[in-house]
Amino acid sequence: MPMKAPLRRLGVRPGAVLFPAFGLLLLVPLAAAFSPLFDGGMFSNLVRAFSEPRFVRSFGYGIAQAAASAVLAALVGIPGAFLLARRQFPGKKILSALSAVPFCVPPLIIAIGFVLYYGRQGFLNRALMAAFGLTEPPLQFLYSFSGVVLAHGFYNFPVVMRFVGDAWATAPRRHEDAARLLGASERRVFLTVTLPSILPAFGAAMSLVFLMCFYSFVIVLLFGGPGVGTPEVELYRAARFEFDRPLASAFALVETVVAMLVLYAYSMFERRAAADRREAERSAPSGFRNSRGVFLALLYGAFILVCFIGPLASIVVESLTMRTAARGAFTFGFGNYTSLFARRGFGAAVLNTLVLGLSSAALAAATGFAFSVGMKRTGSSLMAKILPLLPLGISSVVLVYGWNAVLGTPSVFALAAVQAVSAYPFALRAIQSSVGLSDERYVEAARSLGSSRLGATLRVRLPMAAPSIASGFALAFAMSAGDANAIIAAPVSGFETLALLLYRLAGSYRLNEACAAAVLLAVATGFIFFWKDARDGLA
Amino acid sequence: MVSLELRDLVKSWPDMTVSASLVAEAGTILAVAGPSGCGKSTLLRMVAGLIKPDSGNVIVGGRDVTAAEPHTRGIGMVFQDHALFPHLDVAGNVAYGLRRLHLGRADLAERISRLLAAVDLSGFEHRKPHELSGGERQRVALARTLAIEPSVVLFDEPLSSLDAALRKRLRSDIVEEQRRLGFTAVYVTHDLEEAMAIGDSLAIMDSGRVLQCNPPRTVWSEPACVKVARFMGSGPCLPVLRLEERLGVLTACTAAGEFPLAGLAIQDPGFRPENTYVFFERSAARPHASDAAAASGASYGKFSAVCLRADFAGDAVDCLMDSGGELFTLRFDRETAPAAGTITSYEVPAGRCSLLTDS
Amino acid sequence: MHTRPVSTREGLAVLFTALVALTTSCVQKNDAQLVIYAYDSFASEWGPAPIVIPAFEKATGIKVELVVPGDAGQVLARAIDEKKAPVADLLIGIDGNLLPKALAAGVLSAYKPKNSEVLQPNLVLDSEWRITPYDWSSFAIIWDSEKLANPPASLEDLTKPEYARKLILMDPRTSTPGLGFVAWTAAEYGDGLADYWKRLKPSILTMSPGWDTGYGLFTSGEAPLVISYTTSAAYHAEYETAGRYRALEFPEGHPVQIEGAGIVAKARHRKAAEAFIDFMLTREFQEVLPLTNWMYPVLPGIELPASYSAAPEPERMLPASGSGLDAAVKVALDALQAP
Repeated sequence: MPMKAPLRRLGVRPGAVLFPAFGLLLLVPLAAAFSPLFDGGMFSNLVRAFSEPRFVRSFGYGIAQAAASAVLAALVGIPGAFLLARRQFPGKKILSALSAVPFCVPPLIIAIGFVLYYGRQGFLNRALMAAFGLTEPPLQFLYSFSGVVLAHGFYNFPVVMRFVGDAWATAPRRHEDAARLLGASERRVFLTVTLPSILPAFGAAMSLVFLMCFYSFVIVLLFGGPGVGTPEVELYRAARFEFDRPLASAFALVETVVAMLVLYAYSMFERRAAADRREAERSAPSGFRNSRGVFLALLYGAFILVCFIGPLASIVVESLTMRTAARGAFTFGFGNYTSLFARRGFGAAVLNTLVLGLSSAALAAATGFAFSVGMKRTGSSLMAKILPLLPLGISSVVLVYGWNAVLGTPSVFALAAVQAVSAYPFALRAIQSSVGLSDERYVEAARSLGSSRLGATLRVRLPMAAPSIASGFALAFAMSAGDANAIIAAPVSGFETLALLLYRLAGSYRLNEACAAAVLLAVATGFIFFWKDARDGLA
Repeated sequence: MVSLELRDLVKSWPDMTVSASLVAEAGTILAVAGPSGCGKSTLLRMVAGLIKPDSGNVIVGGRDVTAAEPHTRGIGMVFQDHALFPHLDVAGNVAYGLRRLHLGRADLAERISRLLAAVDLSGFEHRKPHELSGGERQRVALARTLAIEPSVVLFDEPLSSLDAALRKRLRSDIVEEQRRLGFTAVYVTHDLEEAMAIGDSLAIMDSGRVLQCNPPRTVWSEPACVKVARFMGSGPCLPVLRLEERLGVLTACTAAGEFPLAGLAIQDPGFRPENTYVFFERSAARPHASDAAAASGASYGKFSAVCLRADFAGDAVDCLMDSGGELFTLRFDRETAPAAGTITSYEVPAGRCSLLTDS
Repeated sequence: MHTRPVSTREGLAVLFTALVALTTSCVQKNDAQLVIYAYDSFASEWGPAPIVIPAFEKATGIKVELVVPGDAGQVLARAIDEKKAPVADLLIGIDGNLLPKALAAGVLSAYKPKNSEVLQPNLVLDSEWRITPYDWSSFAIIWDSEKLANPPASLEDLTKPEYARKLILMDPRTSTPGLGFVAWTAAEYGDGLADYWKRLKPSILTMSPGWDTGYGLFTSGEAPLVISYTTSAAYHAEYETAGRYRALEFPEGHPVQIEGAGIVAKARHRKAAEAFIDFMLTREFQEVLPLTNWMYPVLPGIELPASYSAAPEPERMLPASGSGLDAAVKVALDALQAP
């Protein structure tokens, strides 16, 4: 029956259903968010936007800081990548678990940590002033362009470390040995063999860090020096203080276009890197060759400890600090935690975090799986390359506004949809490397044994990919649990999550309790990453 | 032409120790075979200097290179899957090792085209590795290695990913190249047929140790121990139940046969037959001719066996035999092969039988 | 790669649970008879809402649904979005800066509360009573007396080299006090605004995205001067020791922030909304404000807590006006961003 054919096609190809379904989740709110652009003509709105000096200025600044931050993240991340990939040492799991930080610790907390640590009255300056008898804080870079770059660079270096480390661990040893035997010095081996093989992963990491910094908000405003603006800030201003929706949409559009260019690069890099990941055999890291290596590794460890762990540790210290009476006096203890636990609504917040996290993670993992199956089939049209990555280039705030415009009122569904869409490229990345592995022959075998295509997918492909789906799920859950952007942009009455509670505490002059909430969140999400690593056999 | 000598080379890991002494005579190919994981690749990497041995020496042409950097050893290596640099074209790959020579552009191009011509790949300079066929890649890898004019070339399962026909052709290419240039080669493979065909001598490795190193013919017909015999598959190993003196000749008794052992006497009074086996080549047995055997007496070993299955193998027939519960394969002429299901007596010239232990 | 097969059933169970949880949590009850949109700190557990909303419900029997779209700007933005089919009946937190936008968008309708005559005329934001003021405070620079010996005495003093990197402001693009400070300088300097901001730039340590972060930086000692409200000093006096953080009084006068509530045009529960506006001007409501919203009540004769003695009432108040502020913000930012 000819009528039945398309239906059957839909039924048997999960990709055929989920592909457009996911597209809807993404494109509907996006279209709604951009629709004000057409109020009074798209062209004139864009012209108006471009004629504003702040428009060009903000893009210049946004791109400059994001690029500089990506470079710093690379400089800090690459030695770590080498250590993760090539050396065996105690504490490796901890170094590896740091990659949870950029995804799961909210930027506000990072900003607070940096102030507590690098600030004029921060731990580091106080220590230096006490040590050298100074009267002025010696470290003054925090509130300037370099402060922004520093915070971004340190915040995101684990992305580079992880991406490049994964590639480095699987970089073909034989090629390096071949080069050595052909007379290449270690430097030449690195430049001509290792580097080209980690370059795609490096490119992918750099474009990702660039995007994350490009969309950064709190850190830019806080440290960027007075009056700086990134497109995201100007968008916020246009939408929220000037109520100029068309202008805001114009900003959002141009911002998205810039992000798309970066995304295109990311997708090209990531494609090559993913292919490398699938082909590669993981070889066991070795111990250190000589004391110089140990020394350099210790130096790097100390650097990470002082520069990156320091701010994070400050948050922990702050969460254990109880201010009493005057702000000068304080004691240490778990008082902030007990008052946090005792807080009315804390239980509900935990439950809501779980509900929202599980829903968006389920959605993200399901679409991730469908996509990775679907993408194997549809080949490599530009759309198939970009569409799955689109969420990386769209701020979740824009999506949430879009959903509000569509649904009329904020809802938990919209939050879950937005968080799923934002987390999904990372879930996809985790899943893709495995569904690629479970090669077509298994499905063919199942079909030759009488399975339908759907049955083969459900009974063969799904169980085979299950561990990496679980990884993707965990990752999406952790990201969604730590994210507060969407829910701040469109709060749902009576629905509070841990991340939102954290922001509220910080916003109502209860910094210590906010830090306690942040520590709880970080421990929970960090644990998920740790577990995921253990599963993947990385740690 | 230089020789390569591995003197008591040892490398230990918590769960594995590789130790070997081997010699590859100047201008010959030493094939190293063994099951995967037996340590043959480790051995090769120690020779190349990619792994530092715990003790022992690597001697190339009389020079101890144990402490030398890989590229100063005069050793080249062809890797599994060839390890061509994917981002460089063929010329770039071949030229990689020539950088040290600081050749001018024209000299370099000339050199590259000469090397490529030698492996029959003229005009392939600007192809990328992924545009080449398996055989072409193999030849580029060879040209790249030969470019640095090594005196010793190590081959680490270079053909393992190719199909059988291509493997045969390429392996003769390698031998031809080796004869022409006269380098000394160590060729590691898990493919026994390949190892026997290519090696002037053949070393069999298992669990990190070299079990035997001799010309392939010797290893085939005179395996040093049961493990080698089993790995080679060159003939049955029948467990000895007891040793007896028969008519003044020491005779090994198996479950369904007796094998006189000419020229052997029991040296050790404590000799225990438990770990002892009778070995003969799989093609040495023939159906028992009743009158001739009576005349020859002790010069033949005899056993009876039932033929379970007879597989046609072209110019021969491979028969799965059961002799007293021991299963093994024998190879017969088409004319003398038993039919499946028949029980027959067989005889083996005593001179072709030997005793093996499985220590 | 190590693969432990997870059973499909296990996975589907997780998925199913999550989706069920999702749908049940989406169900909202809608039996309210008054829908109020309020900004977050008003509605928070430390704000006035937990006290005044139950009191109102008890007094009138009207069930209130309190919705928190975010900060005050988001309250208005949401109301504008829903203009055609309003959900909210009442908006709380529209201040003088937001009012022109609310009026231009036409989301408010007039209601003159019963005892409107008791309010001081300078607190009345809109003569047509589309907005009813309920509390106010004035902006001031708060001084950390432990970290800085000589405080500035005027806006002009802030530009002095001795205050280099000593002042924390909030970004006028993202925060109300930030906007208030620009309004303040605009009122004082007029045409000289760009020049003032150019001179002020070296003194600014940072402009934080919101009041909370900026004030947090200030109390952790990052800089000894911050823009906030005069009543911030009262907060410190209430919960900490008085004296360290003080509001500075400048002779130029201080801009006033007046917060108001307004009934949404085409509100579904207009009568209830009117009742709430009336309730906001009762003692019961007004007495709560000083210690929860940290603002002055608009009703005269409300006794202030003792801690408010630490908050100086400025002698000169500058009128609150939101018009022309966009232009002032642009001028200030251009001055800051100019190389």
